[in-house]
Amino acid sequence: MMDDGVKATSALVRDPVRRFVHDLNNHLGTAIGFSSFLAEDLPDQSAEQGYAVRVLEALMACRDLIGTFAAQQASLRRAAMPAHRPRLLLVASDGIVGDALAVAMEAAGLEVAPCRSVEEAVEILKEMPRWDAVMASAADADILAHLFDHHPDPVRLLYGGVDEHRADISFSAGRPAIEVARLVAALLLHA
Amino acid sequence: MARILAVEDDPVGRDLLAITLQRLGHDVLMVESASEALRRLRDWQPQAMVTDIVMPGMDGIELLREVRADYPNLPVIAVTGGCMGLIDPLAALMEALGVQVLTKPFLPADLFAALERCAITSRGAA
Repeated sequence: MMDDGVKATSALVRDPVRRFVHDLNNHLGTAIGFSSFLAEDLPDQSAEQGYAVRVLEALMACRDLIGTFAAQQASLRRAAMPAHRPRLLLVASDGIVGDALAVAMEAAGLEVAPCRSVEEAVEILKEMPRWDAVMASAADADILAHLFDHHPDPVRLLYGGVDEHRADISFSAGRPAIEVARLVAALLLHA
Repeated sequence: MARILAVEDDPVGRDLLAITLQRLGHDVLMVESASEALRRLRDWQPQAMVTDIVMPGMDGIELLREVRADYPNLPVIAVTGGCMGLIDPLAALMEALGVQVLTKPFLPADLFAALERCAITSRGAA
């Protein structure tokens, strides 16, 4: 099991707006679900069924309002992002670690291209050599030496390994994905 | 009727999901954690799984990776309280894992439709 801090879902729910929308939707889901049972089960055409339907309609309107709020927040966040989002090639053969990092990096404002092997990364680099940074997990750290020899421009980042691979910056494996993502975003956005 | 394993850590959400699935006509086994779901998959052999995504301990993503390794064809519906735009990276990840994502709050009819898309039909009305 992954440490709570490294999980992709932790990266998302630590964001206060996402957490608010997530928790509000959970409570609203309970209210909508049980009121829909009432609306179905109360006698047809009864006043009580009418009340239940009105409650349900109000809750559905709340759902729409939350959806609008979330869409507005997403739009504001996109507008606040720089025109050029730093591009990160993320090489992680361990899918869970890669997914957690990718979600956290996207949430931090980076454009992420995940790939699952050094070989795949080498092919991507042949076709698209311009990246702001390349991050490799320990098992895929050979890509950093390849970069050093063939593509010296991107910042070389290592996650979860000892720095024997010419990384510019190394992060320990226990470091939460969201924290790593914030540091990488700060580095690249202000570089 | 289908055997459906459902995973939800919140007790109220668990009750709601169990009742919804039972009202849709299914045989439901509710568990409160991903690790318990993994234990029950073998002996109960469900025909579909419904799981929350954001859970303490092992979350829905880890659970799905484990499930996909041993049960690549098990239909899975992931439910989340996340919302449009704000949780896109997570939804994209779940789609990459080959599961349907149902965003809370949803109506029983939405769950019914999601199960139908998995070819899981029931005797109950949506």
